[in-house]
Amino acid sequence: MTTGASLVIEDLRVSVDDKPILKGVSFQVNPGEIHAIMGPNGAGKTTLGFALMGHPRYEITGGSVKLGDKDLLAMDVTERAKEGLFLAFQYPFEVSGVTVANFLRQAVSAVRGEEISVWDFQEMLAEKMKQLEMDPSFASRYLNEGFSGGEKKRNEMLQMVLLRPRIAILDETDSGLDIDALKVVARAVNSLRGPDFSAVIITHYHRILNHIKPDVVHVMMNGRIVKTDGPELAEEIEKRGYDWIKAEVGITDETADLQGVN
Amino acid sequence: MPAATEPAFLAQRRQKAAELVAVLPLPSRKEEDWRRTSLEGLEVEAYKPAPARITLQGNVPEGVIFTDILTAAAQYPDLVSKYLGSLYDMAQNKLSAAQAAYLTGGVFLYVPRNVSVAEPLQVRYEAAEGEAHYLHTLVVAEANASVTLLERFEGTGDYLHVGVVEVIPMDGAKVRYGYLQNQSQDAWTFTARRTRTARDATVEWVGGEFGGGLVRSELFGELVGEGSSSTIKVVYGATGSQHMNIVASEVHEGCNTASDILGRGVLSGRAHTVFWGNGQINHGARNGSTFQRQQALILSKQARADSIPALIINESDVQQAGHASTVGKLDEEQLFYLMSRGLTRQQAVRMLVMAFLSPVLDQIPVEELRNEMIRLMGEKVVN
Repeated sequence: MTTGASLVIEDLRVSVDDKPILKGVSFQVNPGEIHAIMGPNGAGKTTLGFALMGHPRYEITGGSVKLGDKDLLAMDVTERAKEGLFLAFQYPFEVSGVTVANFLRQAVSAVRGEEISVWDFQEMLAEKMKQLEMDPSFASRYLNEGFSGGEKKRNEMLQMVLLRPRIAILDETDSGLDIDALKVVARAVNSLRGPDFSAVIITHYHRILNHIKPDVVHVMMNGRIVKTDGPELAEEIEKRGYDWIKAEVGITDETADLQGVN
Repeated sequence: MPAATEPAFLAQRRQKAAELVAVLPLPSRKEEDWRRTSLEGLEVEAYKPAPARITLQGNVPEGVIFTDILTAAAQYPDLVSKYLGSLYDMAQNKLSAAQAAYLTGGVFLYVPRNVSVAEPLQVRYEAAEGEAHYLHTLVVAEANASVTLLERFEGTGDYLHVGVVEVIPMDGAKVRYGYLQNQSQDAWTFTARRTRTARDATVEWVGGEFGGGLVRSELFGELVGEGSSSTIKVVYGATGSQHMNIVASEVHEGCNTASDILGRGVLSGRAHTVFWGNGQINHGARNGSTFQRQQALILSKQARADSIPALIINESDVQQAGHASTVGKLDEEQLFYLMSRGLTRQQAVRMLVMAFLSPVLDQIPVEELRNEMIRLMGEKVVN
């Protein structure tokens, strides 16, 4: 992908097992922008990531999403990836029998639309792994099998920097990471930063935003974006929590009933 | 068919077998390992015995005999008559008798003591509509000899294949027998493979089952000599309306013997497979070890895989004995993960199928055979 694209989400509604989770989400990410989506558990943040990527369990019941001038929701999962959308999974799946190197070479070839030689790929992989402070032996291990939580997140970032998406969604990539690993994640995102790359960083915590400065911060609650502001909003949430926002927008009911489905 | 120069022992054997063909029935579903396999519609007489079309390939050192079995029977009657049918009883049913009565070809491989054949020897068989092929492969490896034989079976149309493979390793001999069964999807194919190991002998069965409308495939090891071992590795891919009945059995009679059975299959369409595993340690076979793992991956709703492991231990001094068996489906979450990185569903399925097979494929000792298995699995089952 050589040119950036905007992601325009309008009134997106998503149900899981017939239960409405997203109840009308709208926001726009322009090329080059980094957006953070913060919010308490059960707000629907992970649902947003999966729905945008096209997971079959997440049923779109209304609204529209455009990636550049294309209708994202009309594409299958593969097409979305080829159009430059990337989701860094919160809990990446383990695939025994498939090595990291083999998988990534096929993925990069698929997204670029041309077969990459083993030789060229090895060189590219080695460089990116060095950048992410990953041991070279990592490449020959089976995808996520037996990886620690931190290794899985690093592996997600490795995939991101190799695939060079136009829009990356990071679903709580920061959770459970120590400060060194967090810096590696930040370095990966910042290395792609530019007019061709946008990111949506889904997080509970302000911590990662100290290392990746967002342009826009959204707060999601109860399946909606309830507040949008500049980076100072994240700092305020760090200091004051979410209760003041709940009071401001008139949410009294915790979203506890949504736990476990997002 | 009987050559003009056919030796007396073979003519007599045919005669005896022909009498059995007339009286013996087809394998019955009353037998445990035929219970899930229907031979309805099989008319043995409807297929005309046809001379085997065999291509042999490979350089052999001096003293090694590698030729078609009818020629071998004429040229080396003492050697062939000593071993032909020594491990496989022709009187089991109509098919085993017909195989002996109508023997249409096959291969004789004899390796003298202390001779190692470096390169794999290769054989290719072809069959066509309406034909019956009654084949026999006989491998005799004298003490401390070693050899690898690879056989490929192909064909088109509706035909009958009945094959017997006997592998006879003497003390310290090593025999590796690999095969690729890529018969027509309309063919009836029955193959019985037998070995009986002498002291410190090693036999490896390595097979790929991909073709055949109805497939019965037996891989039996009888571990007689002390310190001998036998392993079975089978990869199978079934699709359409194929039925495969694979029986892998290792019976330990000698001390310090080891066996291992590894079977992995992938099914699509309306295929039905039955994998019978048997690890048996008889009384007196001290310090034996037998292990079997059989796993099947199902890609469609209509396919069915039966996985039936058995372990029979009649000796208290056992080193290890165990089995593991699973039948599973592809994980949709894994597929989503792979597709989210730009792979098509088909690419993702293929990747997961190959990952599933890799523990067996990685152990296929001959690269050429491994590559053909990967190709056939991709072409026939994952498409």
